[in-house]
Amino acid sequence: MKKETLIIIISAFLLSGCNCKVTDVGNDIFPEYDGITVPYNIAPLNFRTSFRKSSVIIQGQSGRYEFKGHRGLVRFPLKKWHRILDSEKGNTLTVTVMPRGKGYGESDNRQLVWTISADPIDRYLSYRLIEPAYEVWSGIQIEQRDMESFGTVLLGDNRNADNSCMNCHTSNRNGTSFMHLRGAKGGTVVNRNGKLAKLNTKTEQTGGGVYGDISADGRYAVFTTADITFAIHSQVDLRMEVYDKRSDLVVVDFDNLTVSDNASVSGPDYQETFPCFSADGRKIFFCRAEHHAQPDSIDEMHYDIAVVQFDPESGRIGDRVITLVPAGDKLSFSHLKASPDGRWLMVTAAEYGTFPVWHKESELWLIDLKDGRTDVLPQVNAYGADTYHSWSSNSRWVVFASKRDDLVYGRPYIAYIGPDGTAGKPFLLPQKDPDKYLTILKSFNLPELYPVSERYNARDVAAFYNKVESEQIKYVP
Amino acid sequence: MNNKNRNLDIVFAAGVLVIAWVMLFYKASYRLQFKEQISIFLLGADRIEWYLSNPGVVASVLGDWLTQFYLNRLAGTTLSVLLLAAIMTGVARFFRLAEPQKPVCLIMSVVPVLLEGYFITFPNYPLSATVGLALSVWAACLMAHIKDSGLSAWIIGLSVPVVFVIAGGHALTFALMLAFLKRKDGIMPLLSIAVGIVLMLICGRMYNLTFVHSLIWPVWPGYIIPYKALLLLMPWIISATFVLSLHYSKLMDSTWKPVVLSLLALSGTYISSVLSLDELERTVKIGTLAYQNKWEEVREMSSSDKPSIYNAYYWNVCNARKGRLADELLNGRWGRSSDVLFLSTKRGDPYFSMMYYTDALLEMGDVSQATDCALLAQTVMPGHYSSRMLRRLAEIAVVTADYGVASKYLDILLHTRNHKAWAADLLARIEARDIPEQYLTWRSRTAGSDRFFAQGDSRSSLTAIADFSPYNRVAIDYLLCSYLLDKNINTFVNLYDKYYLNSLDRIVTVPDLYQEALLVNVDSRESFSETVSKYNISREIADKYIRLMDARSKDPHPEAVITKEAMGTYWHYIMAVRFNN
Repeated sequence: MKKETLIIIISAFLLSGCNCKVTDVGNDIFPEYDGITVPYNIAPLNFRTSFRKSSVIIQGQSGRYEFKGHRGLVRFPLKKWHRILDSEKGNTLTVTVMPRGKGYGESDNRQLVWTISADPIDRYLSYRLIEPAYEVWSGIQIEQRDMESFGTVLLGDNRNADNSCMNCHTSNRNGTSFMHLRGAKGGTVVNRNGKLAKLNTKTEQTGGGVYGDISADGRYAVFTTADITFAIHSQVDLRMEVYDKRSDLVVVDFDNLTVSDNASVSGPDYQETFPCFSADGRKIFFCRAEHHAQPDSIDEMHYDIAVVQFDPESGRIGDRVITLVPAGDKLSFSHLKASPDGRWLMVTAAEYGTFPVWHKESELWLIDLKDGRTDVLPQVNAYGADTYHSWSSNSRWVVFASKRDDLVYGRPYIAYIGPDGTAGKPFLLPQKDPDKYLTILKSFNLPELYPVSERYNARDVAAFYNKVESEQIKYVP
Repeated sequence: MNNKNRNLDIVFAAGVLVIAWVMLFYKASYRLQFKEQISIFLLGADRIEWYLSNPGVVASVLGDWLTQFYLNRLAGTTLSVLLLAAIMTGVARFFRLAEPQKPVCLIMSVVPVLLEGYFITFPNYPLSATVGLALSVWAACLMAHIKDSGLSAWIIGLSVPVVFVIAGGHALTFALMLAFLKRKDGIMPLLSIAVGIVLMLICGRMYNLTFVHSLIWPVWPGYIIPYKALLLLMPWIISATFVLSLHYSKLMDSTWKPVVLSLLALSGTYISSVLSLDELERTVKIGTLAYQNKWEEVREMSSSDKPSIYNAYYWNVCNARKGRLADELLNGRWGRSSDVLFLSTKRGDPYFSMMYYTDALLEMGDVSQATDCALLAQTVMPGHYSSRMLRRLAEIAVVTADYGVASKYLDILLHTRNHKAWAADLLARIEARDIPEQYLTWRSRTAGSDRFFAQGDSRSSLTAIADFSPYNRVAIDYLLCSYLLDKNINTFVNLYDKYYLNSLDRIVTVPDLYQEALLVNVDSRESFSETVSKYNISREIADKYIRLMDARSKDPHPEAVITKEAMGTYWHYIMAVRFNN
């Protein structure tokens, strides 16, 4: 009797501290998954509905599949999901969500349409999980996500690296990647087919690497060297402005551990940033603006899209810079990313400056490198800052960070880009439990797609941070 | 041990717990309550993932869940004492099981409880750590229970990482208790325990923790308790307790008795003195009272309590809320503006400053900095998930009319025990666009024009606000008072001319402080008359200033005259008050 009473008391006590109410998402489905094009190898598009119990019928051309939703959550079994999508490549699925229980009629049903693309998305996605605080970093993690399931691997965790900043995990989708570790024992950790090295990219003549890109063969990386700082806007809806006091470009040769620059992309008159290699590795696209005193004249910083030749044999940057797309006085470009097939250049366009992540008007634009045509991608963009995009290695998918949902926290959205540049409606990276997006207080920052898993993890990176001395890069004039 | 001694033991242990309750309630209850403000208990997908991706999963879930009840100081204190009691009885029971021939000694088990009682009073020491210790101690009891049925060496070895996964870093305490239990069983069990500790550390690496962090998890290194070694004391203290307990009877019957009792008394006194940690208690108390909107109590505390940065800061916040910042400025603690008006929020500053500073910033209408501070506080505090800052961020979003953002935070709070009613109410009011008056007031004070300023540069931010809304008296007073406190009269006069003269002075009574300050730079009879006329300075203040100047010029000890004649005025502040660099 005593025991039973005790159990009742403990149960009541436990229940008093737990509110197990299901998130109310109104009549909508979260995430918004209607009218989207998805790769056939994507992880299950689990979603939440306002119906506590539901039946979900997926009608495809090769069959009809039924699932049950419980406690407002619809989760698809992984193997069955992939079987369905494999058999429905190129088809359109009609998904009907029907509430179960009394009091519901047919009018309560919701219908979603999913087009299953036969183009796969790269299997791996890395992103940085970081609080959207202004400049303090604490609890930063770089995570690798398997796009075909929900598995994750930690690539970096700054708890093991003196709480230093970690950033810019960048891959060439071909076995070479890097990430910067800041702090006293920091350096740029370069991974070349599983072999790690820690480099000090700063020399007496050139600054340390920041934003960068790796050539397709993995030999070169082109970096911005910038003195980055920030200021706060007094106008509340503008939040903050990150800017470069100065910035130049350098190229690092990973084979010979050298760094070189060129007067065409350095010097005080212009600020250059966000470089990327063209698909053939013979050009470097970058953003360039005439220097103005900052932060006072930050709204006069309009970055054009420029291009300079690059010689992959000698590793030399060309002498002549050509402005590809002038920004004028109403625009500023950033985050240039060339598609691996060489056809497209995707950029972020904002009103001014070089850090669009805090510019709510920021959007993605697609430039056809064949004819210069620019698509402002209305079907992709939304208010709230769409930035930090990355191409899949088949050039059919882009992932980008968007703050469209709450204007504060970046979430990874995926959009289809057809061979002719036609873009699909973007969809939120699926999670095992979509509620994760509702409670997490971190941004998914710098999403990056690549086809082959990294062969290191956070422990290796921590060991490199703590125990390995940086190799010094030499400057080659 | 005879019955008499045993009863004495029980009475002693019960007495310790009662004293602990009294001490905790009267000396540390606000610190305990603060734990609730810097944590949150949610069973959302992200949080479950977080719990599972770290060791001590049961201790963390249970600890965070219990922390919710710390919102009530009485409940917080009682729960703390109950947890200490669980540890104490667990230690005693373990000893009884491990050494059935030896007398039970609750007195000795008080020692680790005193230590844990000390740790628990730090706001940054998570309750899950105390729960982890209790779980570890009772896991050791369980092992002692099944001692006789025979435990194979590999089970003993594996139990250490298992306890690590369940209870966190206190698995080391568990391992040392096992070592005590198995000390007479040969080398194999001890070896397996050593292997278990190694496995536990490897396990910690799998969780991406450093070795030291594994041993102290779920405590975050680098917060308030800066010495990690201090946290590693517990396993050794418990081990020492057992060793001493083995010789308990001998000690108590020998000449060592006074030494043992003295040591206990000393440690008790030490812990009690640490428990009093008055400054920390006052710091969290005043911030908590402000959080609870008990502004009268905040004002009372800030005026009567021992001087501190936070008391001085809140004194001014209280007065600013009533539009009396300048009138009461010199009745509070004197100091540079950076010490009494603004709080520092640089990297490395305590997160209390970032949390508390949002109170003043919202009053000023400096929502940009308030957002910055709230996000920073959330980011730099252990666990990075604070119910108090979530509420603040939601409020800020309502002030800026970013209702989507507000809903994000309020939706999270809807799933908490303590804040769901508040969140539901605010959500309903947002839905009905019935925004609380306080938020509308703050909204009306914000800057509509844009200007850049460096983080923490409150004056630039206030200037931007004042330029945009010249009737935002709180912001303007903060700005003017900051220059007055820093004795920068020229800038004060310029800003007064800009914001008060023929503007604010037509709708509010100009504080005496400003009138006094406007006379400070006057250097002749003519300019004195001009100044009095220009600024419409009251006859009384003007006469008083003339009398003061006359007396000062005639007296060989001018500072004494100022102190005597002008105490409480700005003239005394600028002429007689000196600051140490």
